[in-house]
Amino acid sequence: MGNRYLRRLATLFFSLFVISLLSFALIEFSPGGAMARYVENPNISQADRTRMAERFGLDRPAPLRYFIWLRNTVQGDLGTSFMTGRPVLTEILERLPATLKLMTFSFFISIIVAIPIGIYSATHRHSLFDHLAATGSFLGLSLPSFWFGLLMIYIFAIWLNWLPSGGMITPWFDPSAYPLLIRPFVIFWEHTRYLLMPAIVLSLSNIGSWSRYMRSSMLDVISQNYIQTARANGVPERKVVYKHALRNALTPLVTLMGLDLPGFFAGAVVTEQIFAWPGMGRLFISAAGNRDYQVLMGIIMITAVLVLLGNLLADLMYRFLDPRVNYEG
Amino acid sequence: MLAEILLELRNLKTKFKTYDGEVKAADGIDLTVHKKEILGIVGESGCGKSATALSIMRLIPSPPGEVHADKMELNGVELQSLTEKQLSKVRGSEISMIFQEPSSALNPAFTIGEQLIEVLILHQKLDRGAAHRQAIKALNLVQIPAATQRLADYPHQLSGGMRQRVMLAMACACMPSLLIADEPTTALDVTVQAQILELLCQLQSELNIAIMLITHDLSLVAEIAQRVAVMYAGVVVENASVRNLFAKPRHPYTQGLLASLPLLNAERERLNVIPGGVPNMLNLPKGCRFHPRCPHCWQICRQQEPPLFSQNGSEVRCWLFAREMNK
Ligand SMILES: Nc1ncnc2c1ncn2[C@@H]1O[C@H](COP(=O)(O)OP(=O)(O)OP(=O)(O)O)[C@@H](O)[C@H]1O
Ligand SMILES: [Mg+2]
Repeated sequence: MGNRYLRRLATLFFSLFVISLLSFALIEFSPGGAMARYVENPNISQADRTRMAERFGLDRPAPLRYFIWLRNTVQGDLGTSFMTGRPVLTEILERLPATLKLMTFSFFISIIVAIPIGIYSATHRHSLFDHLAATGSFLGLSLPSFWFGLLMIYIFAIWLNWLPSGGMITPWFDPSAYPLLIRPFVIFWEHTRYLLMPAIVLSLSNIGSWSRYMRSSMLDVISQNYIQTARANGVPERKVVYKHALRNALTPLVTLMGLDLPGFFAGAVVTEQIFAWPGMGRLFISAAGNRDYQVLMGIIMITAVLVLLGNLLADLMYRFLDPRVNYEG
Repeated sequence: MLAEILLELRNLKTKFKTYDGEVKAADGIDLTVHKKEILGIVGESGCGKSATALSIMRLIPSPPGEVHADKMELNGVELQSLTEKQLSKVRGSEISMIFQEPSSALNPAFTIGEQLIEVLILHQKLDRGAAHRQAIKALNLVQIPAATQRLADYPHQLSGGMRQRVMLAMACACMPSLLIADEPTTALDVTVQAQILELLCQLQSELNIAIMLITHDLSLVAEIAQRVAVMYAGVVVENASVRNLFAKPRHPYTQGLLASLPLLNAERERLNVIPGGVPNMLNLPKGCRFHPRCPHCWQICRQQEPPLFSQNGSEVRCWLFAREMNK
């Protein structure tokens, strides 16, 4: 068992290395450069730009820069932002909680909606609900999230004026203005109303794919012999579905969730942009626009670590849910 | 000895609506199971044995299935009138069933103990501790060694024979009056088969459970059953005591089955096989279903389906007996 996880860990570090190399090369080969944004500025001369590039160490050959970056990163130093001059790690850690908050909330929405839809569709196959769910998940998967986002902003923020169109919290929000008794609810609602729209938009494609997957997984399990056994032993149908079948149907879904994680991060980038959510995704977009390479690399690496850890977690969950998977493997 | 009737099945019709047409898996089946007896049900693959068993368990999925019987009484209770809730009380406690594939018949996600204890709690309203003790008893009953440790095992940790024993333990834990065993030994190797059969006999005599043993192997039936119903293409063609059936098989199909038993004609090179194949259930021959394969076929067999003729507790669905037996 220990051996197995050592191997996983080695693979994880190797993946991180390859990801960093590829990302660095991709950034290196993309047009423009860190100094490109100053070219049009009449107050900054060519000589200034050369001096700045030297200061940032940009005049060195790319392989050397990569090794310097790698050496510093291994030591926990992700460098400084060209834009703000602040440490990259600080910039990211400031934004990471907002992204994690959005993703966690969205993840729970996805699960809470997708799993029951999948179960109901499977147990009521070819019903009206099943057809509607199929159409809905098809839409959720195929229509772009910025379109949904703008539609939701139009309906709920502009037209109905129920929810704020963007941001994470009202700047002047002051919980102490409310009586102690209702204060927790006020705080909860204050957070939720900002979260609701971006989290729903971010959930749509997950709900689409997970509910379909849950349906087919459930159908597959329901036709298994052990379900027949449970029924033949007098287990009531509700328990057959929600205990015997569900437990087995969830196992493959966990793997899918792990695989969907990168898409989830990518979705967060777009969603944060639409809803002015002050998370890592927005930082990424502005850093990409400004060619702030250190920040870009930092975000890519942190995301990669999170995705790989997420997959590790999914793997552990799978092992927990399916006793047949042996630990030696 | 006239035993009390446990299960009475009259004119069972089980149909499946498929894209290709309607399959009549059971087409007017009459069966009677007496208390504490072992009834063998024999027939080729696809003749409707499992469909009949599942119809009695009321486990035929609808759609595509449709079940109707004039009478389906267990201990005098009409099973067709029960609600889903009442049925789940009956299943596992009065009538239970084990299946052919022990490898896939237990839930892989739960331990043997969890599955066994669940059934006990469901039917006997025991608390956890009592159910746990009862579960160990049930495993001892089916002769599983080190029962207490086995409770913590997952199904994949057991051998096929052990799993079938666990299935039996679950099915018999609540002392049902009828156990339907659908080809319980087909997937097992020969020595394990013999052990499971012996166990079935023992359960029948110790717990007074009646057993409906479904198989396509007449020799199994000869070993442990008291009566046999031979099925062919959705109907019972012969129904007799084991002794009578083996001494004097009446239906040409039964005769063919007996002639093809390897044990009885070991001296012969090739086994006697019934000519022709299993009929297409979607397109059954007119008249007697067996007539295309029957060596004694005459005119009426091609035109009219024979009724069940009976005499001294034996029944046969064949025109050859129209004169000597009663309709
Ligand atoms: N769910 C179903 N849908 C459609 N047809 C079915 C279904 N279940 C059974 N059948 C059909 O009913 C007929 C009888 O099937 P059944 O399983 O009862 O046969 P069997 O005698 O148990 O055969 P075996 O020895 O192979 O188990 C077959 O022709 C089969 O194709
Ligand atoms: Mg069968």
